[in-house]
Amino acid sequence: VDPGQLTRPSLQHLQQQQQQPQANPMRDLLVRFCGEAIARGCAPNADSLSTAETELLAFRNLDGPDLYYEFYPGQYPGRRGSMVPFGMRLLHADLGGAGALARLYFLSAVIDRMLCNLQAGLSEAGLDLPPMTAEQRRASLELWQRRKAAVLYSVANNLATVAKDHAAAARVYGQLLTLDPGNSERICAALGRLSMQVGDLQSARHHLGRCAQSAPAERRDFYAAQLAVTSADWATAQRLFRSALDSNPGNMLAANNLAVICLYTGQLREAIRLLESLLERQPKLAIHEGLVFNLCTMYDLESSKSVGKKTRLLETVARHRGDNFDVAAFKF
Amino acid sequence: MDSTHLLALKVMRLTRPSFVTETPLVTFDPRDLFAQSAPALSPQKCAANQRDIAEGAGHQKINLTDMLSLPQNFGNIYLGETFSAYVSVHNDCNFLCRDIIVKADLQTNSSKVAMTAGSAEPVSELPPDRSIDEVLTHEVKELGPHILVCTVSYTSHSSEKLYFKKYFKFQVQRPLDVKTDFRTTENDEVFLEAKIQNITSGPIFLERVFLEPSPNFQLLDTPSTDREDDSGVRVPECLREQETRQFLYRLRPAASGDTQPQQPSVGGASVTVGKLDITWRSQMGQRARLQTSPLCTALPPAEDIRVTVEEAPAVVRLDSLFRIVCRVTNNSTRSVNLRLSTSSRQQSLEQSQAAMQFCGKVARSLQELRCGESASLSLELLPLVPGLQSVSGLVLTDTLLNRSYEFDELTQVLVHP
Repeated sequence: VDPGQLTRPSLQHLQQQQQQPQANPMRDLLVRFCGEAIARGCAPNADSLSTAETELLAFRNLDGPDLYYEFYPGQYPGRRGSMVPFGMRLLHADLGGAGALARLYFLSAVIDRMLCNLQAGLSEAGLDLPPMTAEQRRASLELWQRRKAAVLYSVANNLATVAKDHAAAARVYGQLLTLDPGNSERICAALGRLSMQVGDLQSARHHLGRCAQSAPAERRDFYAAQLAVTSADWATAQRLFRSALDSNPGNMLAANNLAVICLYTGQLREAIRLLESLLERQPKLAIHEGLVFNLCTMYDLESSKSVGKKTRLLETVARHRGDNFDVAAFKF
Repeated sequence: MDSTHLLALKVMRLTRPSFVTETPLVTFDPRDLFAQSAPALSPQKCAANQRDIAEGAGHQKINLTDMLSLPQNFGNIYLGETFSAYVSVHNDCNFLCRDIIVKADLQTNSSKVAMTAGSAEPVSELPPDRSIDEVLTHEVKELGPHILVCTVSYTSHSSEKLYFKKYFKFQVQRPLDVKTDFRTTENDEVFLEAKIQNITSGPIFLERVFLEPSPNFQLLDTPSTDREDDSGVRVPECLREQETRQFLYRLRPAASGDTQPQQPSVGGASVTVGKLDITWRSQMGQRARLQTSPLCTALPPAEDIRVTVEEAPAVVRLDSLFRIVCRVTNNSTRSVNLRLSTSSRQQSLEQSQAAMQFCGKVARSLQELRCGESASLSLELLPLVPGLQSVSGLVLTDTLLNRSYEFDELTQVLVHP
């Protein structure tokens, strides 16, 4: 089975695979991983998460002997190491529920050891063989530093949204500023949002100020608008989001945020018009659970006849996204 | 519900908008082995919905997005916050309605506040499918149950005068638990320790904690609000749920000089020290402010004879004499004739146990002191035991009334071997 052909998780198909003797264990692994990742990536709701988790349970802690190349000397002569793709390890850690942080930090610790080994002139596993060229060593270091950053992004997500420890999440983003300098504006913006969430406006101004330094006018307006929201300066926020939207009519975030702020200035009708027009002009861009939730909230506030409008919206979403959508956003 | 009415009234509480949080989505490094064989899951496709306004080189997802969301539920309301609501009156029928008056009142057990700003102005016409919208705000100053009463009166197309009311009930909760503790020192300074605990359901940021002293007191020291920046990143500072922060204030009674404020010497009278004024912010900068009721403490009763230490060394050497200078003040209502001596307890202690010995002419008479007068007293001491030791055991006897006053723990000195 070619992993590229799978478009929907077919559990039945995967179960059939499981019953066959492991003729090609590496491909089996990838096939299963596809199923989980597709299930999670396409329909991120509670159902698909548990499917992915049960799939991964079959592999326990991803370090069983049957997951190493050495276990299949006939098929992979001479190859050493684990067959488990790094992406799968990260997925496994992210899905850990209450234990996700522990798994992620374990991954981070292993990567740190590998980086240490590489910098000391050894192989990733700390062995003195096989000899690497300088080019290979550099490539490996770069790869593992990138993967370390990937783990830290997951850690920061977990701390910010699951553990709700904003100070700890901010410290991790601080580490990422040095590890992933190409993304410094995104990270500073995330730091700004973390500060705004707990009401620390001084820190928010500090971080968003750093973002705005090297950003074009459209984004500068956006950051200034966010700060205006925290001071309840609705008129300014509205003006700045509108300005950002005028600079880039395809900016779905600016459009959504502008509509939300319209409500705070008593302009429900205008808010609804904004979101409906965006959905009509650029449905692929606009269809998002957050935006749909906002629009449905506005429909409910507008009149007693919201059910009809929400149903029509559901039809539009279904046409473009299929089941790939969390229907809780509609508030039926 | 209001099917008999032609207009519909909807009310929604407007807490601050929040950032949309997403569940983690799978992202792949484009160079991963897996990503090459599954183009359907390439990062470009996954990033189809832009979540962050900022552009970046990576495919990594940050789950706390830049997208704003309207409030998802009513939430909690705390004392000191501003209650804000969107009120919309919509013409649900197919006919024009006239003379619509919308009134909103906030009622508690003890008060009734009108919330609508332009309540006097009726809207003359409301065509079908249009609405009258208003955002109402009110700073919440009472705890407990509140009722928002909305009244809509209008004239229908058939010239019928109609009206209806809707009630929305909510509870205002206590956001902070403030505990105070007072300590008085010998030189009349009062220390106020305030412990502020966050009992809301989320983290808050204490923006300003200010002690407003009463006229009887003068503020000497306030806690610094300067923040030390982290060496690298500036981390958001907040008080999480159930966490407590302590603040220490130093005050002195406003009556200047050595004269005590006139107080009855029987028992300690209760005196107002001041009020705490606390301003804080919660999610997305939601601002709130509270003042405590006046904080009182009982000052210790004024003694008749008062001894304060004016000069004393902090550190002395073992077995070498040192001198302290005290001031003896007569706070009673008559003149006194004082005689100095040391405590009989002190004398009866075994030599090895006495930490300090008074030296020189200890048993002597002092000058007569009229009420309010004070005199200087110089004493010599010999420390015998190393460590932090107290100067104790001073006795002043009023020969006129034959009343003794004992003074212990006058001051502490560190005795070096």
